[in-house]
Amino acid sequence: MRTISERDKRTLRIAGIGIAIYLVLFFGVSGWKRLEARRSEYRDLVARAQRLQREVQPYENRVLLALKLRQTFKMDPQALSRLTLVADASAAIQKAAQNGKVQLGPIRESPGRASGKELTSIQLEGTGPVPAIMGFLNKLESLGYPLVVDAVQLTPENKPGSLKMNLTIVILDFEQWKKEESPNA
Amino acid sequence: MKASLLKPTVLYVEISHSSFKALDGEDGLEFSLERDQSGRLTPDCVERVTEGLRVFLKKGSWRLRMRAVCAVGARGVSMRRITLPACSNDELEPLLLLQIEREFPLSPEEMAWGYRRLASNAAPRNGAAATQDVLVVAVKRELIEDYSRILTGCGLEPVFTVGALARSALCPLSPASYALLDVSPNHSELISVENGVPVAIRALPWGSKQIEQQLSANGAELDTLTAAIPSKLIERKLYVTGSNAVRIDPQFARAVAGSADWELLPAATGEGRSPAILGLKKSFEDGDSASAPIELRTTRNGDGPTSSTKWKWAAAAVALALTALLLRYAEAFIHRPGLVRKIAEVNSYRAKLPNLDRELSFLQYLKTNQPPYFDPLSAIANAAPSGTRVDALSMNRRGDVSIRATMRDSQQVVQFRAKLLDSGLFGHLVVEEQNPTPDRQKVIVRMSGHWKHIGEGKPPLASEPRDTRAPASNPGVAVVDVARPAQGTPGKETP
Repeated sequence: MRTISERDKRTLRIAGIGIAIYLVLFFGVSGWKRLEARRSEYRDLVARAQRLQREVQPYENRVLLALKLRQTFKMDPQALSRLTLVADASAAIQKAAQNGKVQLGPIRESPGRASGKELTSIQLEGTGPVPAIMGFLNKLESLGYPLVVDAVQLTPENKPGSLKMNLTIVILDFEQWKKEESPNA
Repeated sequence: MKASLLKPTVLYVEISHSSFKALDGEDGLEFSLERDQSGRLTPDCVERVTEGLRVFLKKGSWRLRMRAVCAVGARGVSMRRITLPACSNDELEPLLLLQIEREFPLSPEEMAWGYRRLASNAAPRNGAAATQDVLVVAVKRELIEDYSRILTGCGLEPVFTVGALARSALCPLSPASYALLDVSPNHSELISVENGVPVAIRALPWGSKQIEQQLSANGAELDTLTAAIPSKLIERKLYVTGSNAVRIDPQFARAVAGSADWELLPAATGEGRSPAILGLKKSFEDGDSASAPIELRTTRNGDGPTSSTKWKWAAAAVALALTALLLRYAEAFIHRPGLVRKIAEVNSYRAKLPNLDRELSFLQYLKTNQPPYFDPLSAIANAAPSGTRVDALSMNRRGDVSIRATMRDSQQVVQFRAKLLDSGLFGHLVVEEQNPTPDRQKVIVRMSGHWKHIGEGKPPLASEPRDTRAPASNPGVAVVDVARPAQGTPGKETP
């Protein structure tokens, strides 16, 4: 086999370098374009994320307020079931009265006014010591149901220190809020 | 053994005709060498030494790549002092190559060679061209290539020099003209130095064994050995040292030195130690480039370790530049998945916002429609005069209030109504009916009006203390201390 001279080696080396430069340029340009496209896409993503961040930022206060109100009423409106809401609320009211040593009398349920977004109206009578009646009134808002005391009527009982109360309680219907047109977010 | 992680350590090596010695810090290694008839190392010997050296170096495998400074024997070494026209550093090497081509029996490509510029003592004469002296040392390349293969096979970066030059570093600076004789068991090497410049290197075919034989024969034949060393090479002083634990007899040193002074240098003892290795170590530790042994180039046309190191640096620079450039694009690859995830989270959060709005409006509606009944009750309890009896009280969330009470006289009715209006919780109150009781002792009064929710009415007078104990002191009043219910938190303070 013929040996390669130094001159041949040099020629081969230069040719190799030339081919390498050509390949680098050929593939480098397409690779470069691909990288630029990827980077441009990333920049778009960043801009989109910033835009979203700006859109969502004003809602932070509303979220905090909603959380605070949820804690105050001990209620998650999303978890309320319309089918069992009246029964559950009525049971909770009676249980609260029982725990508060308020003796309940007749309880009457009637359909609520749709215009007032009410589900049901409950009228109940009860008797008990003044502190028990007041405690019961106070406890109604934190039973975990959307209850609004529509009317209160207090009359003294024959027994000293006792009161007779006549309450009209309205159970609000969250479904009617859901039907409202969603605001622009 | 002290070694730095960042500072590349140096392995000192001496390869003589019959032995291979290496010193790594304080650890030494020795092998005997086998050569064929042409003087080159046998393949078995190369393999054995490479393997042994690799095992020796394995204990320091965590270090950076080591540099091996290797001193070769004087056999086959040619040294010439060449005078060249004065020129710049760039022009020196081409000139030197031409001179080497002319002065040496082999072409520069076939030799491993090195040079050192010598300081010129004499100024050029008038009209004469300026010149410079260069000391060139050369050895047959194929000899060095065997050694280089062993060392590079162990991952070392070899640098070669001549052992005799390395040994001269052990000699004191004064006198500047001297000779150094290194005696091994079977051969010896002599270097002659004149005014600090090596002038001759000789490999002598006798060693300590022959010297002992001659001395045991009453020194009669000693002259046959010393005759191989011309007195002009010894200059002013002869230093004698021994390799391979050779003991030098003073009688021999005296005989060789003749009229010159002589001195025995301390023998190098211990594995891997020899005068050449200790000289190399001293030169490199001193770091004096002027006195350092001449480095032999083992590569052709600059394709050597120096060139490869340059290429490495160039490659590193290119890699660094590419990395810096790619970092611009790396951000997109590294952060994109996280950003996409974050956008998805924000989108899902955003989708919940309408629900949140509805929920918030529902809760706010609930809150604003929850009438604070305790506030008007408290106001009524505070406003009721002594002896008042509330027979009926009704309120609703639309703000209607109706009170039926029994009081002592009409004056109390006026006061009661005035106090209720002052509390700010009642918009207007109408006394619908005021009738005296049949016994004319009391007055039955029926009032109706409008009460305000929180925020609607004016705040109550701060100066007016709230008499929360009033119902207790007025036994006739049915409404008692509503400001502080017995159960639960009140939470209904008048604003």
